[in-house]
Amino acid sequence: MSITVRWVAVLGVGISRFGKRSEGLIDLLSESAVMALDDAGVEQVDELVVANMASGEFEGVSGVGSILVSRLGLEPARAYKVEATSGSGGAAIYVASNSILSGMSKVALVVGGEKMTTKETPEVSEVIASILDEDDRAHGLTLPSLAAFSARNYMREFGATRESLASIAVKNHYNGSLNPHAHFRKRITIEEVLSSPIVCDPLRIYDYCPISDGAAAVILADINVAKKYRDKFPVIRGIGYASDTNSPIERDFLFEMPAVRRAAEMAYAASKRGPRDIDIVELHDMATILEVIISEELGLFERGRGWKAAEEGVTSLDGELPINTSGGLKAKGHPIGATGVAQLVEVSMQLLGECGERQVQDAKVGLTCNVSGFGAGVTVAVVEVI
Amino acid sequence: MGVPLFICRRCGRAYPKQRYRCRRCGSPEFNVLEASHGKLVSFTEIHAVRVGFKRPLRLGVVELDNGGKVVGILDLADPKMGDRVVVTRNSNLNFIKPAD
Ligand SMILES: [Zn+2]
Repeated sequence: MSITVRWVAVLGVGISRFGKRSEGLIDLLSESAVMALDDAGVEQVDELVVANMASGEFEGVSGVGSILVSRLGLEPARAYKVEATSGSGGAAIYVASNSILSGMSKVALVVGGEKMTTKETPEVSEVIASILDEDDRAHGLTLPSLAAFSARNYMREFGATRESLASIAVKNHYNGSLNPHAHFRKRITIEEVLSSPIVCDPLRIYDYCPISDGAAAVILADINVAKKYRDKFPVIRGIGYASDTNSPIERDFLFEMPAVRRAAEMAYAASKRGPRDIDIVELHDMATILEVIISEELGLFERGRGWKAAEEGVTSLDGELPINTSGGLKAKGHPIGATGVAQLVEVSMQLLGECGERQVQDAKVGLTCNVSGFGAGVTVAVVEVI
Repeated sequence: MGVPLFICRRCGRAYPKQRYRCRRCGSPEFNVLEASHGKLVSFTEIHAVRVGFKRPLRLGVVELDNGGKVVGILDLADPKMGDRVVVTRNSNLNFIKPAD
């Protein structure tokens, strides 16, 4: 029987180790793409969407879609790159999902990646800061400093403690220690977080994600096509995308991300699921405070309550609502273009019971939330196995 | 000199950054108003500074009395949330000083 719901199948996934890698961007992307093609068992795709922010700045490479379609032998598939800074992966999934829902594509390969360690940290910071408003940037503003403004105000407003934020880093490092693809496999303690060097007061090195190389891929497909390959697979039941000012200091509150709220509402409405239905979450913890803010904007916790969740174990692997089972950006790493795709890979693997030591029992509904910049663009997807 | 604020001619919304269109009403026309007084609503001390900036770099966010928020370089000895401040603009940079 033919299904007419507006769901998109996740037919295959591929991911390799995040961290400092010797390969260049094209090889990293190819590696994950081939894994996803093999996992899905498909030989050809209609469309190849590459998620990447700064191949030009990091490696002097442009036209990544064209390069990759040839390298993978996927001609004449439509091939292009989607760029939305750190939200590129989510945006690419959004674009490919719409192609499938419109009927223009039956099978699409989405592969996201970034090669960052070609440059020293100050140069990487410069590339990342290039996404900020020009006037803000002239003052020396950085993405990490936006998180610091946010953390200071959140802590003051809701009484959150430094320890509570540190416990998010501790949790995500623990999860990363169980993930063979994670950049950091080392467990850390609250004391180590609180005694690590200050990056932007009140946040420290262990509050932030590292600079990593890496790539991840998914094969998205029309549900009726997917059924010919498999009996059981995850589907994106609903997806939302929204934007907001790219100068976050303009917002009414420095601890809010209205685009997360908006994208989540769209994804919940489309999927006919709500925050109470969610069993596992992969979200954009560029800094510890962002895990708190985003989890609240997603409606998973009331405003001002999210900071207690990690400390009380609610969001740990064996808690009621595990968040960032992969280790998140914090410990798995954040190769910019890869992140949104890697989130869908993790949630799909969790729902299929393929996560080994970090497997969450009985997870039925997953959610991903990928963020551009500091909330300038957000993709939220609700995923379930059928 | 204070900082420029762009006020939508149709609906009055204030923007600290120039826009081609108003986010609320879509109007392309703005009046420019010079603002200087406000209160400090957040601050940080950046230790991992970008190339060309002196470490540590102290930045603050000011909510202007005329509406809108701007970032600026902190020129305050002991910043506290809610401090009354004056923002001046020099060579395209905002400086945050105490209001006397
Ligand atoms: Zn207006």
